[in-house]
Amino acid sequence: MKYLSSIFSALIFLNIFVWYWGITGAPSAALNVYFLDVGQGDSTLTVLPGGVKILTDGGPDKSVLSGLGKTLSPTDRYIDLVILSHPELDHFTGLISVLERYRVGAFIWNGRERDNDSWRELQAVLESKDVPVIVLGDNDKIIYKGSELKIISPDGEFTEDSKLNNTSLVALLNSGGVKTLFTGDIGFEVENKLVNEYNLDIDVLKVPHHGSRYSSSSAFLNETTPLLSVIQVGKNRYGHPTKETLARLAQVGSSIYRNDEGGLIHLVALNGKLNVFKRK
Amino acid sequence: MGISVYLILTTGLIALIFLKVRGMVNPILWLCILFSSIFVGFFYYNVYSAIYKENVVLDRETVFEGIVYKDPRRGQAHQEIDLSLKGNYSGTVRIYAALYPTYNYGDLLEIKGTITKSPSGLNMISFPAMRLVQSGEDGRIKSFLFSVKNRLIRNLERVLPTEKSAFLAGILFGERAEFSDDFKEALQKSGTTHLVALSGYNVSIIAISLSNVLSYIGSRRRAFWLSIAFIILFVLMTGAEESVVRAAFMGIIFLISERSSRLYSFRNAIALTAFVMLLINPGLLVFNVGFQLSFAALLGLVYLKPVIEKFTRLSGQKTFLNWRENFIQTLSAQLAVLPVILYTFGYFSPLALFSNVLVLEFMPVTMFLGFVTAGVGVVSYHLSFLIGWVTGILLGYEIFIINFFGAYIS
Repeated sequence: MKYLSSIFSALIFLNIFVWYWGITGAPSAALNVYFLDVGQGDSTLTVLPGGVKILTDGGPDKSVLSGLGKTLSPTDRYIDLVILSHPELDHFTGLISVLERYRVGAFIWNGRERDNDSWRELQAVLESKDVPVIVLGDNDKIIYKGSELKIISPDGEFTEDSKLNNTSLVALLNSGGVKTLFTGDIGFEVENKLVNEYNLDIDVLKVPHHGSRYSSSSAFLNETTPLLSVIQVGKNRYGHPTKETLARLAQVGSSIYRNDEGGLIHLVALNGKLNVFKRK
Repeated sequence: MGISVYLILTTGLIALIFLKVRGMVNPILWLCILFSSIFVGFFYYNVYSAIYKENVVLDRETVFEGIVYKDPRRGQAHQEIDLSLKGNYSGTVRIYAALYPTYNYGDLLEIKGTITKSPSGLNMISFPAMRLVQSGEDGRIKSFLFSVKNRLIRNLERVLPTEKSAFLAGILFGERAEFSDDFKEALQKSGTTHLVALSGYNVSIIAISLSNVLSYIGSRRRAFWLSIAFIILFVLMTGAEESVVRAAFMGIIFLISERSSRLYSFRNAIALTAFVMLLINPGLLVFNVGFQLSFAALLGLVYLKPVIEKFTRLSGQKTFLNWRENFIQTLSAQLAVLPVILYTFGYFSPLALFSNVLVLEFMPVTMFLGFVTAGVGVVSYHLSFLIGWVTGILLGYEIFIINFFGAYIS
């Protein structure tokens, strides 16, 4: 009798678990983009319609984990793609702990090597977890159902740029009827090239380089005309985001959202309709 | 350290009143014993600090070597490493270092930087230049135990969201490095920090369930030795914090007395434990808040609780969530630690009574499931994931209560 009741309750729990998993795990038809509040650094979780999860950059420390804890369902321990825009500490340090704790489908980066302790740690965890590593550059595309993630930079020239920021992977996401541009830390040089080469009329801009004054040129913003700009920024000693950049963004009439003021910024896009939520 | 005459006189006076009330014969003799033990203690403390005198260069850049003597704590944004100095210098230094590379217990490090004294008297150094000279310089058994603990914690981190895995690592192993500042504040304000401080409460739950399980499988004799061995390993594994050592020591005395069928006297066990711990490090009594809190809480449970029970006539009845028992328990422990808390932290949390009543009853089962989740993870990720989900429900509830009382109400 004693065993019967414990087996019975175990079965009930198992039942609840399966139902819970089935219901909360059901993918949404909308595009969800979460700009995680990781302090001074970048980290964005994109959940495509259909449920594919892409984490772009991991911020400077482990705060990306609590960001993932807030956005993923508690039973979700899998991330399809982890993209590193460029190998700087405020973009990849947090990825080490993500790779340690989550199962990751593949790791994508720009192919530029670094030589420091944290970078070696990242390489070690990629190897020990057997995560496939893929190098992408301009004109590469990731397509899933109706969504397309197109890499538009760096080309061969910028991959070797002496400024590490300019080697950032720039990705144009066309999904949910909305165009979102992920820019890493690119500066004027890359922006100019992109404006010349592509027709970049976008809806959402991840403002390059935490709102540095040497990024987001007027020419670039006039061409892209983002409806909505998100600045991934925290407490810092560089003066990010700078007055100049904020003014240029205001000039093209873009609504500005900042992680340091709004906390987690959550975008939902469905059939071209865009909703923004802030969560502390 | 000077010796305060007033403090001693006050102690003497209180002792005298106590002796009178208890009707002891010959109070003067007892007072003499009390005073002479105070002086012997004072003498011992001075000898001790003369022997273990620290020799550290402050406020000037130096190069020094030392061995990592505690398991480093890896937090959200940096790691804390405790170093025991070697060579020309002696003493300990706490290093705040970047998250990577990670260092381990027993590593011999060469450090270049400027050591400063923190307001609380701690030698510390922030983000110095560090070089690993050699690893595995110290204690094989301890390194092994730390690696077991860290492996178990990693198993939790693989299957639970970070908020929950961090809290669970706190409950099971006293690991608090990864708590967010908001959560630490919520714990303090809701008066639930003791849950994650590996208090005697956690250790006694582990010890009791362990000896129950063991005596179920094998002979009583074997259960006795295995329990003691496990308790000692657990103390080492969790870094031998004062509260754990205290609880483990008393637990072992309890097991021994049970085995030799002698009467277990709380008073003697407490006195013996405190005596041995102070013999090993007399500085604990005055400078270690963990030691003070641990003993104060225990004294509260042993001496105040029966009084409160008698006073409120609240004992012995079965209640929802066992709330009366938990209420009285929290009340007596809180009352007893109140002076220490007020003196050290400057505030106390009246909400502790409510938050603890709502949470305490679930702690043993949470701990049990937590250990199972971590242990099963060694064998099967998916099974651990499944059990972790059930554990996660309990953890979610407990974290909610802590945040509710710690962040929303207060």
